[in-house]
Amino acid sequence: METPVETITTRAQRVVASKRLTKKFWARARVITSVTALALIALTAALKVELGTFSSLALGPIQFACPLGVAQVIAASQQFIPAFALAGLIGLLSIILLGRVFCGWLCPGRWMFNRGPWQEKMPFKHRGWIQGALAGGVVGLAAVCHTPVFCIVCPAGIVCRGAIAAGAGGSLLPTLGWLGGIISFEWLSRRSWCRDLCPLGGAISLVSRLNPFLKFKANPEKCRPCKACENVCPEGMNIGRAVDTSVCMKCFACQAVCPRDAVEFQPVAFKITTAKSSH
Amino acid sequence: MSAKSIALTRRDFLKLTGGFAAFGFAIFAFRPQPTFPSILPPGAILPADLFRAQCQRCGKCVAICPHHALAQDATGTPYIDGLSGWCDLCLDCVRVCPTGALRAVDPKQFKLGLAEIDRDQCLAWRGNGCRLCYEKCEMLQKAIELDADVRVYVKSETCNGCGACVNVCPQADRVTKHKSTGRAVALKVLDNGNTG
Ligand code: SF4
Repeated sequence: METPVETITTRAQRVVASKRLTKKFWARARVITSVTALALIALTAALKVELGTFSSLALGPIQFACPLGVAQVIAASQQFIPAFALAGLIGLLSIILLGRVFCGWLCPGRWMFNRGPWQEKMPFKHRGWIQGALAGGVVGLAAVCHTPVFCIVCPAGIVCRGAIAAGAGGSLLPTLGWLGGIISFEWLSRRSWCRDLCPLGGAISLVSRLNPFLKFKANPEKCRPCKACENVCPEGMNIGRAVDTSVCMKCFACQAVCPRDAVEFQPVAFKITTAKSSH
Repeated sequence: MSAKSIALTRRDFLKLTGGFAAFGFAIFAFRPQPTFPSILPPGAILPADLFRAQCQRCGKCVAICPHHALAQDATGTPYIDGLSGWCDLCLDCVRVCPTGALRAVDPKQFKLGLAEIDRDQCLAWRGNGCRLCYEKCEMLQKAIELDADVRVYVKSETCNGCGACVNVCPQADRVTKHKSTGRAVALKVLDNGNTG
């Protein structure tokens, strides 16, 4: 006896299948962007062109630097380095312009971690406070240890170091070791690194409160309370109910899965101010 | 934020705080202490502990180094050991360093370290007539001398610690006191600072 081949016939099934494809498309696009950026870093290391890494990036005369790195270095060395501080400010500015795009689209931690079945589904309640404390804590730790401690273990940093080692002919073992350490930390604490633990993500979400661009918003006319977006959002956010979307890392997952196409992408969302004044 | 998020219990809080503190402390306590102090990139004229505080571990200096002389250790701190390449003091790393951990120096005067020959390992000292490092150094610093028995000596006044001799040394015994290189010559940190 042959089992009947399952075919997609009804309209609902077709919609579900296409949604799944869109979700996959965005997920792949994110991983590919991040891997391309790392490959570019390795390539510049092999060709000896100045580009930099996620910690410090030089695009021609403009220098970007990771704001958390700048804060740690200044706290650790107790010296104010004007050029570096300016680079950090430009980094902050890019966060205000782009929000947590770095987390979603560039940081390799996004697709390397957060994938165990052991993780709790939901973030902590006062996560804003917790993340702020984490970001402040690593700066304090840097000052205490006189070393930018988080820069040593930062997943973005260690993977960039791996990329440089791959390009310039060094050893990949330290990178693998640190990554293993972070994954075990994640496993022991049963938390998702990017959502609950990463001090860098915490610092970026604090700043991205000010970000008025690239926002996702539920259209109240189409949205009916359901949990489709909450289930896919890596941050556990329900876009229909969310009041504070600063942790959004622009991954397009909610838009891809919404069964009513209620999630709207607003490249420029200056409505924030009106919302505040009406509030 | 979604209405559904789980409360942070005291246990969770302790676990998280403890985990992070332990993590941070472990990094600090177990940060690799090289068996011999490693040579920092040229321009690391700051005292070593200040260099460690100011270096962001971004790796730009390693990426730009045209001779592959620089590498990053397990904590990301750049160092030179002469194994993968030697430093010709082009100071490209100083140019790209964003943090001011590396500062402009005079390449004619600057000393990275000092080459030290392990006479038990060195083929010239064992009477095999090897003089690769001498020939290499003749083209660069002229800091290696031969005596009548074709044994090699390092002149500490002229040697600038570029690592070219380590790079060409054919000796690869693992049994040597300079464990990190396995060669008969290794770079030694100068007494007046620049230590890792
Ligand atoms: S470029 Fe400067 S900050 Fe970056 S790793 Fe090298 S010494 Fe450290």
